[in-house]
Amino acid sequence: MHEEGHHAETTSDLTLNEVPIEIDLRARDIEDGVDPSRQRFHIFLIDTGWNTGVSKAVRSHLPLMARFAKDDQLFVLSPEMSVEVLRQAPDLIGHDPIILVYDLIKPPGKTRSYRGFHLNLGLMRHPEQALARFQEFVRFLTTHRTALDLDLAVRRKLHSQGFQGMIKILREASNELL
Amino acid sequence: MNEEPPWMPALLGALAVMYVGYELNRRRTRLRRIFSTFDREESVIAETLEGLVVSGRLKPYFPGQPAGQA
Repeated sequence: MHEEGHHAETTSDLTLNEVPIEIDLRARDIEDGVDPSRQRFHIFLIDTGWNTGVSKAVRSHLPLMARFAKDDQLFVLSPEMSVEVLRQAPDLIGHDPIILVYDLIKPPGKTRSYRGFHLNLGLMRHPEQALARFQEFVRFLTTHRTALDLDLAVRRKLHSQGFQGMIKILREASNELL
Repeated sequence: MNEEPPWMPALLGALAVMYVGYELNRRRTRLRRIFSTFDREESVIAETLEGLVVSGRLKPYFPGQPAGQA
């Protein structure tokens, strides 16, 4: 009886693990506002292992990122899978670790076919710099989960466009000089 | 004789403004390389990623799970 129960539990675990996951990375139009409790992003970490220092720093902070992004799905590719993906986009070779975010919501009224955004951490030389950008990125994702037009938010906040962006860049530059 | 020419402060001011402009532009270009949006051209990547997930080779990551393992 006990064995049978154990067998049933194992079978059920196996079944759960073997159930294929449905995934559709296309952005959709929404009519109502953004529901903060629903999934907004599919997040992928692509890392072939070129930049070992940055890679180690990012991977050691992944559990933290996963907790912040608990309403979204995070996928971590193995180095082999990362190579497989980057072979499709050779321009991105050497930019990894890359955090690729597919946005499920299409910005309203946009003619451009925006799909999402990525953070190319492999372009940073030092793990400390990469971690600072990684933190900024997680902060951006968390604070803008309900923004309708993330395309615009990326340009304003992450590209530091506009007057406020200029002040931010100058402040960062002066901090580097001190 | 040792007095600086009257146009010197204006020249230095212009150079300073040009340097700030150059530095802003350089840093913004770098930020655009680090954080960038993407569109249809990367749909090939999307297809590969969807394929990895649907085939079961790539599974969602949860805290506590070793990174890079399904």
